[in-house]
Amino acid sequence: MATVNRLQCTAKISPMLDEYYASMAHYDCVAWCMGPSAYEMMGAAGVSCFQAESSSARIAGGHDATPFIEYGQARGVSPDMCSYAKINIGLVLAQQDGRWDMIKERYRLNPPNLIVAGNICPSMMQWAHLLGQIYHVPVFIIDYPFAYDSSIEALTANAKYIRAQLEKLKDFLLKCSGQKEFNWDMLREQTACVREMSLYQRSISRLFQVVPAPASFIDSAVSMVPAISMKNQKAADFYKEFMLEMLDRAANGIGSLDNERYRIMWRGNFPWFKISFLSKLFAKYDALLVSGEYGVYGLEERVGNKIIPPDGFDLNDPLWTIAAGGAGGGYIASYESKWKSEFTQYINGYSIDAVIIQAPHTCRPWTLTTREFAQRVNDELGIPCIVLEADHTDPAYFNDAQVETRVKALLETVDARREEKAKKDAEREAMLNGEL
Amino acid sequence: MDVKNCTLQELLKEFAYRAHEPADAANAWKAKTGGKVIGIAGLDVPEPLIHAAGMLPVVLLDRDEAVTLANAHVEMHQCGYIRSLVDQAMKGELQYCDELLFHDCCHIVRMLGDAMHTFCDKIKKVQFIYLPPLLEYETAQKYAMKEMRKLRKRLEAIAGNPITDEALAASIKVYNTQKKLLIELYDIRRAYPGILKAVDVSNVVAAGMCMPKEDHIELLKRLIELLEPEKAKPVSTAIPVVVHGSLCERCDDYVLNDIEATGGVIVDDDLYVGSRYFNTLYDETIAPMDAIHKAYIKRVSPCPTRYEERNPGDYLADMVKNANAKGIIMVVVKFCEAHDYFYFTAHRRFQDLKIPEMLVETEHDSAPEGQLKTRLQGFFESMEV
Repeated sequence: MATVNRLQCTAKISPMLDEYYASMAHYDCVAWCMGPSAYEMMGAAGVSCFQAESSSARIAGGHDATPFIEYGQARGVSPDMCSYAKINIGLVLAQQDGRWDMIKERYRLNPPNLIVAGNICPSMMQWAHLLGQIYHVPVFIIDYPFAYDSSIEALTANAKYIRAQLEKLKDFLLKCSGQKEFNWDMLREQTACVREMSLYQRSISRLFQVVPAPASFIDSAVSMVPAISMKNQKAADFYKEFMLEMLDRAANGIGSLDNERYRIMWRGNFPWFKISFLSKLFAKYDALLVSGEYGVYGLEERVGNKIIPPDGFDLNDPLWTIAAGGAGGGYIASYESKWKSEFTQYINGYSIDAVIIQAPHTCRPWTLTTREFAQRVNDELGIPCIVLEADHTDPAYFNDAQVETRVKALLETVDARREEKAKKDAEREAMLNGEL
Repeated sequence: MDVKNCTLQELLKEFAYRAHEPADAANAWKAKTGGKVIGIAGLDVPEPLIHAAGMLPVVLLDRDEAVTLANAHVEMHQCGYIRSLVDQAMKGELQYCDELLFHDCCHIVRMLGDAMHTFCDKIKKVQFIYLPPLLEYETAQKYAMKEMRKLRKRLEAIAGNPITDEALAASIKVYNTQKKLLIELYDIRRAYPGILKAVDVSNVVAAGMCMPKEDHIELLKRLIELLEPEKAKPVSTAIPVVVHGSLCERCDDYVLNDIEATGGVIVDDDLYVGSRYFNTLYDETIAPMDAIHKAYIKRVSPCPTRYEERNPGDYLADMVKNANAKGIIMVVVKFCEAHDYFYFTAHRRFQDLKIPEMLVETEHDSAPEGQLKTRLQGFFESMEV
């Protein structure tokens, strides 16, 4: 069995996040955020930002999610809600009921002064509404329209619409924080950090094309929170270190696995409570996750790049930069756009042997049409693909034995296809040599 | 049927037939007019625009039959509505529709609608309209108007006819006539509990969602006429309740029947196939496009997929009070996630207001009637205490 050579820098993630969450206590005005909530703007308006999904992922990663899920469900929360929301709401209810006995110090939440959510799926919006009703605090929703028309004209029109909302968000944030002026210099500076971070991430993505891959894509996935929540110089420095470590390994031919035999693309979010299990499982079979959209973002098939060429950034106009980045990617992309942005761009050039699609039970945006995509990967690209039905943060929807059996079967399919190809190649060779 | 001379029972049978066999009425209409039929998903699709283009809008509802073919494409843990809709499409049951037009009301409708043509060769690519859910935000309101104007142009192209403001105003009048008659019918139900069975009311509304509005209006007028002598009969003494929910689909007949068989009488509803379909009138005093837009942003019933500051529990609590009801039954379609949040918020408000409430979860391929009856009996008994 191969051993996993994890990137050294990933050890910094946990303390970095602990420090980040602890810093919340020093702010007078805290926004709870869910979905893409223009986090860059918060600091410039004197608001600190608490990212609710990251918090739930952290709790699930610590194997502490179930008590909160059960606590919420006993009080009317549906088991079918997004599990990020289930954990958060269960924790909120437990805190409100004074159940400190069941909440570890590091998970305790400072109540919000305001809530901001990005409407990329109705869950975010309704989750925000529900919290607004519980805490009696103002809520702001940023609407990201479904890009059923993916022409550049339509996407630009949607970006303008998002930008107009960001102007309103700015006023809303200032009203909530009581700060008089919006700090544009701070926002420009932060946008520059995000750009720097994005450039490192693109390099990181491309470094995964190296064979053997200098890191596991899981390293990248567990390192995504600074890019989502922090978006500051500290975060940019972290990704630089990540990139340099990969570059160093690539230059020295060091792979994440000693014997990399299978290269896998992963589509969808991750079961955060099973990261270690998955990492070991793949290593056991000399398999490595090397690409996917979740965890890196920012390659060529990104809507922001089309609206603001070449890289999606206009440092003089940070609101336009945020708006362009949100106009048509991810959950709001059409089926055809997703095929390019979430599949082909992470398959071509990565020497992919197999694709795994995770269909999380409580996340519809990642679940729906997975069967169509799986079929298409197999039929159009000739790459074997499976759909794993699991969940991002609800451990009730994960079965270790079933997952292992399916992964094993997938790798056996890769072997069978390799053998078949070798046989055909030999026959062709023989034919060319006149032996047949 | 001979509408002018039919009996109440014959008329109710006609409504039931129209409600369950939308293709028959649509095909008959096509044969008569040569017009196109547009199958729509989501109550926010502005129907009068379709009507004004000389086409027939048909609200696509779930079918009361087992889902089979769709299981290859839609997971069992998606809502029954979309599973049924995909199944109907794959079985060729939606071929009477020339186009399908979906409102992007949730991810399930969005993603399956968007991909359905890839695995179902019996339909064309689904058309979408994106109406922002932020009903109270000015920027979103403007975007909604732009989308409605774009849709108007797309519908003109499909119909091959321009949609004039005059035609649109006339269509709005037709829709308002239908809505007002349904509102009158619901007023009668509130004043005379039990005058119609809930299942019959459901059929009346469902028929109006599928068949040509002008024909439905004629049937409604006759129904209200035929109910006049019924008002003299004793009203139900069962416990009056309001029913909410069953979003995107018809509330299952067994649920409605069981409520009325175990000690309750439904005096009002906030059902998808119910008052939610008709309780927002179009403002005829303003420009027709403005009227359609206003009906979207100033709706009467709060929707779980839209965002408004108000607590949905307050709206439903008022409905309970205005109907002199003693409690509310919340019917939530299993795996309708948006409704799960809505339910939780409303549920907490009912607890604060001490309004008796019961949650009923429904699943497309399952009808646990015995269990439901027991729970309903318990609910009504607790209210009597």
